[in-house]
Amino acid sequence: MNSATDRPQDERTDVVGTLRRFHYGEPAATQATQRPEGAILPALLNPYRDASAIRYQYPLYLAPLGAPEDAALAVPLTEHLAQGIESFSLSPDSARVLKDNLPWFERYLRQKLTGPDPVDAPSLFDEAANALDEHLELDGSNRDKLRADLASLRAAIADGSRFLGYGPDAPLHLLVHVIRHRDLERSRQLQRRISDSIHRLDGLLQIEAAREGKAPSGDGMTQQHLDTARLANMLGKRAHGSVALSPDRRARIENALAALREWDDDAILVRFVGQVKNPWFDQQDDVEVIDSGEPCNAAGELFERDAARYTRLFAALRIAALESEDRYDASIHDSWFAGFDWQSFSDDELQSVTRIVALVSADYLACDGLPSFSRLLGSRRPVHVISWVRAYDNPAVREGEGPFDAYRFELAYFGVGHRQAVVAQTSAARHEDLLAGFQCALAGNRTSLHLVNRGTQTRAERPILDPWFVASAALESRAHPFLLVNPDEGDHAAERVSFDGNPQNDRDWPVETLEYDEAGGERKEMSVAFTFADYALLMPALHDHFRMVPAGFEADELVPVADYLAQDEESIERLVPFVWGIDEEGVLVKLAISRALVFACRDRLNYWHTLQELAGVHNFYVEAAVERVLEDARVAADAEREELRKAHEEELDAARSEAAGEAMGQLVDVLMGADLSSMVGAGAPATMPAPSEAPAGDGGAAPAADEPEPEPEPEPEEEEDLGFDEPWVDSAACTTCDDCININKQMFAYNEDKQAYLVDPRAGTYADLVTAAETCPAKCIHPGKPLDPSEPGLEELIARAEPFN
Amino acid sequence: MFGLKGDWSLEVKDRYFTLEDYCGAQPRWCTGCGDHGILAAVHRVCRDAQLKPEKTVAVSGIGCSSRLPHYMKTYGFHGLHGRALPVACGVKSRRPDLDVWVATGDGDCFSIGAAHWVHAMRYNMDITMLVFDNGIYGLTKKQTSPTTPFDIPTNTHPSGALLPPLNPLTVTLGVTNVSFVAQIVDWNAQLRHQVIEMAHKHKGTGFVRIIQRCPVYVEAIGKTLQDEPARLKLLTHENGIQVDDSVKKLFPNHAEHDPSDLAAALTIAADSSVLPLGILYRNPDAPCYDDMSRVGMDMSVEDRLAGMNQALDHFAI
Repeated sequence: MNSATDRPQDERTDVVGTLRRFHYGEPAATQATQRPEGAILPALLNPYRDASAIRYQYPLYLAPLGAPEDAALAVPLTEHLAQGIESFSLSPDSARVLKDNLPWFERYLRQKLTGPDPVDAPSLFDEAANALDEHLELDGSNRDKLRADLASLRAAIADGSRFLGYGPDAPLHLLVHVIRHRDLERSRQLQRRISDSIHRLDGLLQIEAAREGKAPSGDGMTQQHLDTARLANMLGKRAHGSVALSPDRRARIENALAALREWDDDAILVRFVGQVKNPWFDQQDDVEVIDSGEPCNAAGELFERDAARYTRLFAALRIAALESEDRYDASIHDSWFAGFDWQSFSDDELQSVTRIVALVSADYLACDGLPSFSRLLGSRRPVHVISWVRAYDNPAVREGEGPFDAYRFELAYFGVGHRQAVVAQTSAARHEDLLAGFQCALAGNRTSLHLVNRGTQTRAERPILDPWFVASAALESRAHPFLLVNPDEGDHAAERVSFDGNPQNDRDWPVETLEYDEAGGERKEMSVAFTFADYALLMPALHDHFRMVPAGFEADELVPVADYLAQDEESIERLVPFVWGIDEEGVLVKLAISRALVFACRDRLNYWHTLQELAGVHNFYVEAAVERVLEDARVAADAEREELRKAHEEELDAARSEAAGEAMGQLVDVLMGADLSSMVGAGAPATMPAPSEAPAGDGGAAPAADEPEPEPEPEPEEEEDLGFDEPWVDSAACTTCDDCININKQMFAYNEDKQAYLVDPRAGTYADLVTAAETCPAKCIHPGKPLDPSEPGLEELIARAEPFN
Repeated sequence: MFGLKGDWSLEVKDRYFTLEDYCGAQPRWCTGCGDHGILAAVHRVCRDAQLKPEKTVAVSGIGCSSRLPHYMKTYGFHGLHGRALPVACGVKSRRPDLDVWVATGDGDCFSIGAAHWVHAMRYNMDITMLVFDNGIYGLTKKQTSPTTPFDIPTNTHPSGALLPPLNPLTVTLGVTNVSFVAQIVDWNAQLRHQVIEMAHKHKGTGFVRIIQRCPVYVEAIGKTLQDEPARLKLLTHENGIQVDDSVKKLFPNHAEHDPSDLAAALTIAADSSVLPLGILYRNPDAPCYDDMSRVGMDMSVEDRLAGMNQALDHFAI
């Protein structure tokens, strides 16, 4: 970067003028200035050009079904491998070869995980392990060690687990993953409950049939050992069970039984309504894809259809429970079941209903689909809406309009306006936020809206940046901030709103450090805010809003866009805002931006401030109240200080006049020939005692009392006896002198760092151990106690071993 | 940014080297010789830095220490007595892409090679220089070396060395443009590894004097220091070495010393009552002669000829 320019003043004025005219949209200036070309990136994103050399949150390790409840459903691959290694590699130097080559291993996996769908983790791990083995071409012992370590790491890859790379369908895969973990077991439990209810109701009817002598008294084993007909009549009319079923009850039981038997479990856990182009979802037994041009309406209708099926089922289950315990009271329950519908379902029952997910484009939601979308959000139906959001665009824009021609339609805010729906504005790049939104929506029984940004780039011939980084940049630049609103948490925004997924959420824009090299090669740093304009630079379709500032050109009028936005309207008239970019050659450049983009930045900032306030960050009312309270406290403190000052001054005046009176009296006494000796010790004013004078009443003991109490001498801590019975070698201290190895090669060996360790203390005698300890220059061999009590000369050996234990 | 962790970079090297990739022939040093540990430390530092064996060269003079190149599976040069440094400087000068290690001893470096030692320190070429100081000529069977302690009997001075030993630290620290001076004992693995690693990473000549045991001829030297750790003083600093408590426990006498303070380093080095261990002095900004001598190495033959002609044109009549 050039830090100075020696251009003549006129030329400088011309350049600034042209850039300013471009900024204000003058066509001639737009023509006269250079549009960015090639792979220019916002300067802060330059280190991330090659995503294959970066460990980011994806790929994910997806835990298999049946994993412990406290296990995370999805963990970044890097983290999972690191945890796996930690579980068996206890010292920093163990599994050295594997640890050193973990980046290679990870990179191999990443390169294999470029497809859109999850991949079986164990088989891909095995493939990568073999590839690493072949790549390293290690010699015998190192190869064996690597294989053993890979086998240990393999234990962390559970059967049924999967790896998921970052792709356009990653959010849907995660949603299916979460639904399976939440609902599969619940679905099985429901099936068991149905079977159990059928069995119970059937039992009731069988007993009744037997009592009437119409039914066989059992079959198979039952027939051999139990005659239900005789049993039913044995107790006569006294017994409860022998009372005949009333026709109503019988009909109820038969109806419930029929409903339960008719229940057709299609094993579908989730129905996607909308357009899902990826065939993977269609191929899953527990996923149904229903194509629809009007997903909001279709999803609502589909839910009603499913809910009607479940209404009949849950009513039958409830009746079965009541009848089997003979607790059905027609006077109460008849009317209850007459009006039974999905809104009468318990929370648990609602959770069992097949999940309905509408996939809707943001454009449709903000335009033609707005009425149906709004109706769905207010419908109370637990239907989930997922929409892919382009963070640079305005979803309400019409054909031929630019994204910055109007204020952006905020779908999330629209969703929040419906008050009772779960609203999650998340980024596919942040799997934890994404999962939090899904979990929150699935756990509750409300309508939910998920606005997900996946990192789409416009019209790029080839992606300048990996989509994960583009999506992350949208989050960083406030283009697509994280927001989760869960009405189940309470009625107040403070309870409902979660905002922590935003970087540096108390600032307008996140500020990062940019490192760059000066022309002379000197390394420099500067703080750079990452704004919406920086994000816009990632979109080739928006490059019309940028113009290159000539290389090395400096002028006071050029200011970073974040500083520009922070100034008032009057002071920015002469300024031209710019963003820092870096071209493919690594050269730092400035790019002036258009006024339309500045307006878009202001619009983003305005929305960001709204969200901040909603989340309690920089809340205007709170800050005003705090300021008011502080001001009140300041005024009160000033008043109190003033009062004290006045009281003090009055006291001082009184003391002064008293002292002056006394002095005058003494002077008069002296002048009148009084005893001069009376002046000694009494002449000094009472308010100024000599520094060494002891305070009255202290009896001279005060100075001693001022001295700090001498700390009691700490009891000398007795060194803990660290002797061990087991022999051991402190490998880290070994100096690789070969002495112990030369004594017994079966007992001692070198580890990966060529430092000795104890292979097998029983591979030699205690005498070997003691001799090795005596010989070891690092004194790192500790022979412990003898393992073989029959070894000759033990008494002497134990005495020799003593200093080394 | 982006919530990335500190280890976000997935730098992958084409080749991976294990310890065995640096291990040459089986060492012939005596049992209990401190050289074994130094060699192991060099192997580890090479492995940790993943140096390419074909881009690494070990240069030595004559003596027990100077057998080191034989035990490295890299390029090596076992040269003339006292001439390890000129050879190493020559290698570095013409092949600045190579990683150059020098193995020399108290006799090889401080006696016959003393002149080279002084000038090599001033040249401050980017090499790692390990002085294996056992205080005796071991290979030739026990003659007094410049660092043999006073009164130690040798074959050349049977009634004991007559003079107080040379202090290599004060000499080295006194050389203009010196940039890295450290001292260690061979029998502490953590300290030894850390200091040699720092010397290797240092841009310039990393001078490390290693007080090393010779159990065959002067066992008393090492044994005395091992038995009386109070005669050693461990120097620690945030810019020097930082060792864990287990090492500090072995050296009850330790102090903080800022390695950028040359005057303090000289004072510490001059105190003959204790032997300082750790980094005495480090100046990463000292100029390196190889940075100057390499200028023009990337010129093509044509460019060189053109340059020469241009220079000769000054003399054209």
